[in-house]
Amino acid sequence: MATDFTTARPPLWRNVRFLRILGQAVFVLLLAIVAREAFLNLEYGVREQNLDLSFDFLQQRAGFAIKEGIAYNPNESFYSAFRVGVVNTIRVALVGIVLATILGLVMGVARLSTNWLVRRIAQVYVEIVRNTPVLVQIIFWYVAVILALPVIGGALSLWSLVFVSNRGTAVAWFRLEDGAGAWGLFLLAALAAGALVLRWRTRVDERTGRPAPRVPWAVGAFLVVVAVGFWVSGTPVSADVPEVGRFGYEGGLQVSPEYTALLLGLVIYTGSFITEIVRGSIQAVPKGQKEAAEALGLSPRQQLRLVVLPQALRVAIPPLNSQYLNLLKNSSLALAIGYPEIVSVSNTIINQAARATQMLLLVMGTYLLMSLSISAVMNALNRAVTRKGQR
Amino acid sequence: MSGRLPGDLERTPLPVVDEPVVQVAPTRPPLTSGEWVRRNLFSSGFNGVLTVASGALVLFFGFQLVRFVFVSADWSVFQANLRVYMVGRFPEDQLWRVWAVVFFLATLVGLSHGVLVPRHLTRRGLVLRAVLAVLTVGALVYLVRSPLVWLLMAVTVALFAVGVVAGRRLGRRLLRSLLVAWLLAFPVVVLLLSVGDVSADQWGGLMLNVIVAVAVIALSFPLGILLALGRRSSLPAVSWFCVGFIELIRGVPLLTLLIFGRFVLILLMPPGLTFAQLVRAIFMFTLFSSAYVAEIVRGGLQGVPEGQYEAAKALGLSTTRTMALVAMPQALRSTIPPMIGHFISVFKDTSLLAALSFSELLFTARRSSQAFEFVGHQAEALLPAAFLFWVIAFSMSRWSQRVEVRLGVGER
Amino acid sequence: MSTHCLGRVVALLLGLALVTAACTRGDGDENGEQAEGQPAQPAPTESLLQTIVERGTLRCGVNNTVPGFGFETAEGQIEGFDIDFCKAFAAAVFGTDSPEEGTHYELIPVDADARFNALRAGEFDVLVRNTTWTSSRDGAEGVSFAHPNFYDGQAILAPANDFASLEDLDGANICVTTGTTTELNLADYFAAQDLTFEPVVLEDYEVIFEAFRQNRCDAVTGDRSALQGLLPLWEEDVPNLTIFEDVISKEPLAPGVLDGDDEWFDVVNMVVNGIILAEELGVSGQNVDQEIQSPSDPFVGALLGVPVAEGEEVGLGFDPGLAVEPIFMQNVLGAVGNYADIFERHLTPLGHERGINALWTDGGIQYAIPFR
Repeated sequence: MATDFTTARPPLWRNVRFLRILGQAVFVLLLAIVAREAFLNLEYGVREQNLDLSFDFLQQRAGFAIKEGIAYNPNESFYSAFRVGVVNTIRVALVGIVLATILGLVMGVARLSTNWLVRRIAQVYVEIVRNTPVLVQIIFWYVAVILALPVIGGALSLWSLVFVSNRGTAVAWFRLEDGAGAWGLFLLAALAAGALVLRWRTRVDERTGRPAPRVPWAVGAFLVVVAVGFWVSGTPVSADVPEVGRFGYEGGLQVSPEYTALLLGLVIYTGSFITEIVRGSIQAVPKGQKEAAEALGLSPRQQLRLVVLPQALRVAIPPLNSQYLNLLKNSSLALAIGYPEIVSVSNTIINQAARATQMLLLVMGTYLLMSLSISAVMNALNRAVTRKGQR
Repeated sequence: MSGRLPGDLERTPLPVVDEPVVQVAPTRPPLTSGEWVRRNLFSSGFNGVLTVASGALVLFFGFQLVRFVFVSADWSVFQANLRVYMVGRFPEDQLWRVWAVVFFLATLVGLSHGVLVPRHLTRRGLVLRAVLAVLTVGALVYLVRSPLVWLLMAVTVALFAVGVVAGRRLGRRLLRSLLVAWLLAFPVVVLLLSVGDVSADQWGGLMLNVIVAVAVIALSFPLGILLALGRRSSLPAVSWFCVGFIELIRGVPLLTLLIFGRFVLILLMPPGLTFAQLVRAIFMFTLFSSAYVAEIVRGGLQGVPEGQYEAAKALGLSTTRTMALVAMPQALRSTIPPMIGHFISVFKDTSLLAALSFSELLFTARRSSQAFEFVGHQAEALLPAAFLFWVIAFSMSRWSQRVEVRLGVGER
Repeated sequence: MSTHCLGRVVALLLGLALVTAACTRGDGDENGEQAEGQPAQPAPTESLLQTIVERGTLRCGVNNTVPGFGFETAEGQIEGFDIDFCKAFAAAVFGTDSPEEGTHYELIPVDADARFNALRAGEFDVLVRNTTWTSSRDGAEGVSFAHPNFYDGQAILAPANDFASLEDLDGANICVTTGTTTELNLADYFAAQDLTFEPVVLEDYEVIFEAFRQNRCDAVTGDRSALQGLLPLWEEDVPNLTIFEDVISKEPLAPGVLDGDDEWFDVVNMVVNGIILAEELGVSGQNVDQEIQSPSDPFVGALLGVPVAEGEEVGLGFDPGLAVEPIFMQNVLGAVGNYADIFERHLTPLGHERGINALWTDGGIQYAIPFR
């Protein structure tokens, strides 16, 4: 009888299962050796400079001022300073993501407009902005535009509600007074009311088949409850109109020129990529959808709003995710214009406390955390959207 | 559409092919200009308003821009510092090396252009080229004062033209030698620019950006492929490590990696062993780029149909052979658009070296407007740098579109 | 054996080889580990001075934005008070009285906020960049400072038309350089006077000037010496500037080296002392050659390392036991001259007075350590 193939096993040196395990063991060993070498060298190098590898230094007094952000004074710890940097990054990243998406949507639709001029303008915008480095754009906005704005004494103003100068922008804002808590409760009630009205109108729409405007009614209900609450809790909101002082603005919502320049640069740059994503995703919607919508008698705007865009945005979510992450990472370039976000503040901490290794680990860890958060939100969105649309 | 990688959406518009000069008879008569205007600009009331409004905006900003560029701007900061913008503090008496490199590259690029890019002489193309040539010559007349530089530039253009003609004549036979020449080009250039009386510390300006970009691209390409293969490996230890590495690098900004390279990297090496700042920066940049290349290649490998692997197995090819001869060529072909897009990003990201005080183009542009005789002219100093970046990135993206058409990417 | 198996066998052998190599290395590490976390490699026994001599070039971290101290001319040369000290160090180390840039010394411009990290990273050997000696820099930053070569103070510069005195700056935007003591000092000084201000933190004086001339900030603070040097240049654009008399803080500027290298530190320290001592003893760049031939007194002889004849006997020249040749001061003085020479070459033309930087015998506080 021939060799029994079912029970015969190959010799060890030819046994794939053994070799795989051995290969992995060798690989892991190599990695461990390299890592250990590096770590020992690091310890040695750090001790040569009379430093250490712990994070205790974060509790020491910072001693440097940060020109914008949450409440902070130089007597607080390095950790507090770092927190200010994190908040500043989140401030610019969130606002940037929202504005860039809006800009990208508008320009993306413009890119596919039937109007030749609008199409070309959008195309020129994309081709110019996409091919210029983002750092060049940010620096350009800062030194060539923001710094060139009028000085504080001659600040440009829009109906005395918005002031723009090279010391920043001030916008009329609201101020909360007593009774704001009660009004907050009314706001929650208003949200609930709006949601209820939305559901009611949807049900009416489905039952009767007659078009029942949902959103205007829901928004109306929301506003009514908000107004009632406003009146009942004693008008707890007052206007905070900024004034131009000698050295800066007083009152209002103030934004520094560095923030403005960074925001402008990031939004315009990321907006161009989002434009292409929107355009590509709209083009990815099967042509038949648009034709069917036209056959149903929808106007071009309705076609876009009800048929094309919802399907397009489904496809767009993964690349949008990576663009949002890019915006977050590009905010680190604020180092070049002095906006105190994470990298900029960490740079100062490194110069004051000299622990580059720990600070860089902290910075990278923070960015990873923020990237993961953004990706998690986008992935959840992706799942929610694709579940509905699966065929 | 199946088969389209998400990366495509970000980078590639559909390839545009100009209509050839000889035309098939059109199926309907071409629009008269009046009809064209009515259809494209004023097709509805809303469109009409849009046209008028955007037209007014374009005219206004265009007018301001033209007035700035030609009348009110003082370009002397760029004019006086032209050499620094281009090559930094490279010693003047050694500039012949740079010119030698430029001639070499002009010939090589001309040959490649002739071999790879099909002839596309349309009337629109000719007009565009003529306009561009006139503008370039005009700008150069204003900027360049030395007749020697004029002569050298003329020689460069001549070499390029000769290269194109020769490339068109010799055709695809030249591909293999071209490939070898391009592979050798980088080490040769680096040697020429660093051996002898010059050192790599003296590189600067646009030259530094280009060298760093090429180095990073060349080094990160194989590394990225290795990472992608590692990520797909069936050995969990290897694939976890690769995944972890890629996600870590992609999650942090490039600037933090460069700062890491400047201050922490040497601590990780044996005491006494140091590398030049530029080498460290290129190293970290390469790690960064290879993670993105790995993702692109991974996408490409995912696009290779399963049947190919099965057929290779049926033919008895080992895993390595399958990968090298069957999977990779197909994968790489489909990844050319996003890969070139990534390389363009690498070139743009070399501007980040300015944040670390390397005297590349952006840094020199900033510093030149800070000298006391030029203070206040930041815009005039930055715009030429921005323009130089833009020209190179835009040309690369246009060139890649035409190469795509030529290589038949996406057609199967 | 088919190639299929050969590949795997080779990989296996490679792996085994590496493992063996790692294990033997590991034994060495084990012994090292037990000695309380000693490094994997033996500590380098070479001092920085030996490294510099072997390298053949001294690298100095300098400023290139402050007129008088370290400023880049239009031709790309960096000149200044601190640069001369760098030349002096090079002259001492390499035993030459005409050190050449590029051969004997290299000037490496560095930003204020990167200078200490760069020093620690070994990008240069000595920091002569109008750096203030403070306790935290000595301690936490790990820098050792030599004898101060310039005693300075922090001051504020502002347009005279808008501000008559410091009190007018309450609430103003004031530009500061990042990574300097000026940021912290101004905060403390203003707090003590019950004044407030908004800091505008920028990288260096060039960026500050861009912002200042466009009124992004109302005033600028920095070392008085730096502001005094910049004022004439800035006044061409922003007329009628003034520097307030208030001394915000003491700023003793001194060359710095990394902690832990006494040999190199002593050389740097004694060169600075020697330059000041030369002025005390009346030896300058002009008469150093005569003094070498025949020293006017034993103190000069000790400074120059020249043997002084005592009667019929000619003794040995004074050798302080530093890691450079005993005649190093001859080269230093031949290269850059004494303290007064250096001061007059770079700072007097810009209007700086000797002030407290005069010798202790002339009403200032420059006081050299004796060469004995």
